[in-house]
Amino acid sequence: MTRTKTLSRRSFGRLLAAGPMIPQTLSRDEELRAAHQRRVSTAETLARFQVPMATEPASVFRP
Amino acid sequence: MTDDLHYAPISELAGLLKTRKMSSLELTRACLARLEKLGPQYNAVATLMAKPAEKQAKEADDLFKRDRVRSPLQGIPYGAKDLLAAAGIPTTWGAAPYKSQVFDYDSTVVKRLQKTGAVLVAKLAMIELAGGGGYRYPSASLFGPCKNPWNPGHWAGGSSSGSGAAVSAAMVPFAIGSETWGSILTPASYCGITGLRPTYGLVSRYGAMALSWTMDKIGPLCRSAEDCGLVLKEIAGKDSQDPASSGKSFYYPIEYGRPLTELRIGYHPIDFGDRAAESARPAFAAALDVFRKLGPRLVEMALPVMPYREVAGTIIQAEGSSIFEPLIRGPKFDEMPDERQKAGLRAGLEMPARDYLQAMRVRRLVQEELRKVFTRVDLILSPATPSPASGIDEALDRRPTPGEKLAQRGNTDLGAAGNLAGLPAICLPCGFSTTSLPVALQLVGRPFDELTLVTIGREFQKQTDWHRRRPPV
Repeated sequence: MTRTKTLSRRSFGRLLAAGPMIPQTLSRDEELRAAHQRRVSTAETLARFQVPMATEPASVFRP
Repeated sequence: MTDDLHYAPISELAGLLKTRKMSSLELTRACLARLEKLGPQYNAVATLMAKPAEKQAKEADDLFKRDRVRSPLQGIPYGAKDLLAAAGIPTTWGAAPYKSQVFDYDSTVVKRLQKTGAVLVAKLAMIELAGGGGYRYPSASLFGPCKNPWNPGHWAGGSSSGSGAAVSAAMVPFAIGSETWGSILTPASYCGITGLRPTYGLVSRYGAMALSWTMDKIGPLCRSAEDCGLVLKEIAGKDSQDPASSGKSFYYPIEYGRPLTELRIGYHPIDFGDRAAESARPAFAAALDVFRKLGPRLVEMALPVMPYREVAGTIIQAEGSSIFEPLIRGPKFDEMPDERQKAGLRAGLEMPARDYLQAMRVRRLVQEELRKVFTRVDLILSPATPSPASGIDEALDRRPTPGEKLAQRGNTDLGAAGNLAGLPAICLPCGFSTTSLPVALQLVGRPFDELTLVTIGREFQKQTDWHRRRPPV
């Protein structure tokens, strides 16, 4: 498993500003690989966001 | 029937029906004729419901003859996004694998509207499966790309595409759409109409296709804020068949709305400048001036920097792929045309639990941050979409986002943030781009504060006439 480093809010803003990778025209298999890459890259971005250990998921969601 | 009547607001039509200057049957037949003529031109209609609609219209007329008026919607025709079940009528979810799907029950929203006497004239086109996998083209629909009545070379927006186009081209006085992330506000903005996304849990989703259990909302697309209020009043309310139902109702006596001078509206200038399409900036600037003159205090603010889009995308992908797993693993999946959408749904099945949980934990923080924001302001104002409608063949994931490389984000992520926190929003047409396409603003409020949104929307629309403009159909 890749270890990810959490970032400060400011560094995190710079990371978001870098923007997503935009795929070119793809075959079906390449499209699937690109979707997996997007998923993994999104997960890495989320993993870098600092979440206090006590934070529970918004599992029973109420606005 | 004259064009003026086709474009009349609900309150005016209700008055004509009540005083029997016009019958519901006449109005219904006029809408059916327009849907039949214009629907195929714009790929806006899924199913026309002529016979049941005429029957419902006659029942409404019978009530009017006996001076019985159940609601301002009695006898008013409407269309429903094709993800809402209506007994005995095809409900395709906009997707080829479900083209023959028929439910034997009504969704709660359809049932509630039926009780008010409103007349369901058509099921309206939508993006397949409400676009949960992340589609690339407007053609990701069983009905083809839904064209924009203001310019058929452009898209009507999604995923409530037909609802947006049908109201804009006056095929129906109002329509019902749904939003998980942008699906009411985008078509409303692109088509130059008013759309209201209710607070999560205010309107029952029973009988509606699920894309994301924790983010799906159902709401109206209308000609005005006032009409949105009238429709929301009838469709909101407790429903034991929807586990997310809040049990709350929406009351719409406009006099209970807060005075505008008491309101603080948060906004960020960059949203109306560098982070908006150049062609839309003059209209956004003029609309901001109208808000200043309405009386509320405009306060400069920006949302805290958080990964709103990543959280929303992860949650929708995980929940959507789980919901559609039997389809994704089955033989009919390939009947859907958009490769990006299918790949997104397939990839969602591989998402580890830790990613979903991380997203839901960050979502909790998003809710907390937004709660703090709403102690400083009552509403947040920004463009509903930073750019006007995209081209009908344009790849949506390759469309440049204005100012995307700027570090300063303003309130660019308001759509994702508002949907994550389940907050209500209203989309108000506010002019046209220099390329002659509609542009609109969004106002986001506190949970269950739809009355303030409708009140301020109504006041804005008293000062402007963008919502009364008619496309060249």
